[in-house]
Amino acid sequence: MRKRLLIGVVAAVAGTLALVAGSYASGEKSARPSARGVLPAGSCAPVYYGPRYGQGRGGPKYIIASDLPMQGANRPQTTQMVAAIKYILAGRKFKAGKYTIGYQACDDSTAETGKWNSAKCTDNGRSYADDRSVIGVIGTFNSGCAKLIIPILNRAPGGAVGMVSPSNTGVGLTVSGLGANPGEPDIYYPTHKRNYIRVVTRDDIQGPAGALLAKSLKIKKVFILEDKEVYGHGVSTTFETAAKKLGLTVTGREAWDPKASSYEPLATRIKQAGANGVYLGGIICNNGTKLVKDLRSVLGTGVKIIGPDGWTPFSSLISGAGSAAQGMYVTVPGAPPESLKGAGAKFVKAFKKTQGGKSLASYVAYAAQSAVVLLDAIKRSNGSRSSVTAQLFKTNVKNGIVGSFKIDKNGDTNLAGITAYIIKGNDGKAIKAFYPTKKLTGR
Amino acid sequence: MVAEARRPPFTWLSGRSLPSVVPLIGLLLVLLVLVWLGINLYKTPADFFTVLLFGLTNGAVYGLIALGYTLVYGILELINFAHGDVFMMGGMITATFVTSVFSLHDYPSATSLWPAVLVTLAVAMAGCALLNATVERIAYRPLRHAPRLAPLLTAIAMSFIIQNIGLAWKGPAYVSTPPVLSRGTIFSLGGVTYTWNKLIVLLITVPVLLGLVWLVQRTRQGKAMRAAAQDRDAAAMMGINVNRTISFTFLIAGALAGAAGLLYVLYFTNIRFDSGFQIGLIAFTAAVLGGIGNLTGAVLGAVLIGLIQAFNEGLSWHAPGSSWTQSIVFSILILILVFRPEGLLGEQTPEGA
Repeated sequence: MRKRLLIGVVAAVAGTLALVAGSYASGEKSARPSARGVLPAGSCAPVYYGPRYGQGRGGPKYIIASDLPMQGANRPQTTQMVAAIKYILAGRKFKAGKYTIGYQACDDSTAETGKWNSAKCTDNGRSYADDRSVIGVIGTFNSGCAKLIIPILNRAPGGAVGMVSPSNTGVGLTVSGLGANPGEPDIYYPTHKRNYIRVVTRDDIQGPAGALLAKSLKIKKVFILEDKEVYGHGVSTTFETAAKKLGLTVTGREAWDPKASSYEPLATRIKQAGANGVYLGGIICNNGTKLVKDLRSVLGTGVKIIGPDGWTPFSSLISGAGSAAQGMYVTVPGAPPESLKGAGAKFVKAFKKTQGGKSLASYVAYAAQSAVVLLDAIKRSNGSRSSVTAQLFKTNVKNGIVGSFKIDKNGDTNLAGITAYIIKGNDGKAIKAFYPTKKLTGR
Repeated sequence: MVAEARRPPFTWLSGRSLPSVVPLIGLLLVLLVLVWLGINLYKTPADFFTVLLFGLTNGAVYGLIALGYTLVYGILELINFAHGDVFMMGGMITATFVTSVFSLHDYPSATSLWPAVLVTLAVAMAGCALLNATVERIAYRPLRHAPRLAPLLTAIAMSFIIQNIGLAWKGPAYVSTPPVLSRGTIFSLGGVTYTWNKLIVLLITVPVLLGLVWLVQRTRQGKAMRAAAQDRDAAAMMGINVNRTISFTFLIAGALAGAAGLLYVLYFTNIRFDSGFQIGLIAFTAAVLGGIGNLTGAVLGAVLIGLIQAFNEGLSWHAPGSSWTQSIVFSILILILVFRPEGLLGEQTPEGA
């Protein structure tokens, strides 16, 4: 009997441990039970709103949500992005015109995947759609997740919920053509009315910018690796087309398996193909740092490695790949935080202080800009979801955080610069901005 | 149960084995693969051998894990699905010791590396041995006489519990360690270089395999293991403490998983809380390929899987490429289970290992 009791106790301890781990996996640890938000606490942090911070009275009229992967390699970046949105909202005293606004940061990743997860994205989308107090969404971070949430919010009861993405670069979300899949983007808008805009440029600009960078680095033969995701496939395609137009030889295109133990055989294949450059179309969360390590160990430092913005934040790349990350090039749409002028420079300086002086990840300023764009649209609206969505498409920012720009009828920005960084020491150093011509992008 | 597994396939179709077409097709497939390898060897000999060395080394690491599966199967006829996760914990212990306890950097000197590796190896092996024995005590022993589905379910449950402990401990991101094993060249021949880190993997795997075979075949404890595997009740009647023998087997298998975890992290330099599940499945496939229950077969199967993966990803002439690696590996599992369930070397329990 005693033995059985002992076994029972041990099993109970193990079960409790598993439950503790499960709760770790299911959401933000900082959620306060007394401040539960309107959106599910499993995915979303409590409402961030004035009264708890000494401003305003009662609950907010509307909620804005952000949809970002808060776990995995992107965590350092997305945590700063959430802080930036809070900073903007608090700066406006939790108000957009006459409406009071609260904010909930939602997580579209799971601990199991360490990156965005399709089931989580869909669930989050449904929560935003069903909760009538949600007036707009900032997100998503990953294009693959946006594809799932946009159509849900497009046919939300009470009118389409507007989305502003700080970092989606997938082509097919807004336009058809090179880099988009057949049927895109119409399949995401079942009501035939658009509800999605973004403040960064698309991969049909980023891919060609990567090709221009490759040419400027004197790469003649390039091998392309992709992670088989929507984003990775799209950016690899636009890169490949532009590289060929620029006279580079594409010696091969392969997928890398995120679950592989080793990429050394794959690197041997690249070496055999005689490439002096490798383009990595994909995201760092897909075992990216191991890939970089193995490529460096087989190919040496003579072969240049270029990645798109899926390889941010630099801190994760550097800590994960160690010395192998040194000298890798990464392109990121938009300007680096340090080079922003006017309102941008002011924001970076002031916001950095709230982050203990830490350097800001690439998309932090874009998250802040997204918050400004959404709050301004709410301010101009009549308080209905569809009115906010309509106002988003009238966005015309002058001297904003990321500069002056307009949103077109597709929901795209006219800011088209792509910055190339090189990894040096503990950070990425901006080396040059690229502005691919229409001849190269095909638009 | 062993006899049942050896039953020829498809007897339910006609009461007899399928006609001799099946081995013929198998032979043809193997021939095609050999021709493909031959052409690649002819076209790019240096790359062929480079990839072969990668495959051999990866296979040796898988082999250490496969040994743990096969050892437990041999004595209990149970697939210990938690084994891959015990291996993961070995890797996590190693990553912690390498980065936090000894704070090793890229390629440290031999004097600072080897004492650290030995201490880590001891801790990882002891920790995983205890963990594996605990799993047996909690999840398998109370179900010794239950239907076979019950311990299979508890094995899967233990696998998830250990995974979640790994997740709570280290979080969802890949745990990365600096490369500490020297990549210095041992020999370089016609464009093929063999480095120390690869040799170290073999230098650990081969003695472990030999030691294990010696333990099972030559020692008193090994004799008890073989007896318990053959007939548990008869062994008990002859005065063998069957429970203790089974616990011992789990201790040994756990220690192997710990050693494999150490080797994996030192060689591949990263691990994640769910790595054990994926690599465990590969190692399990290797054990089935070689003949589950057969120690030499497990290592042979693992080396073959390592080679198949590496050739598929690394060769340039008409290789399917890395998108197909998992499909190929698990197709082999299905083919082996259907057409040759006893594996390449034949299924054996420790009595004949």
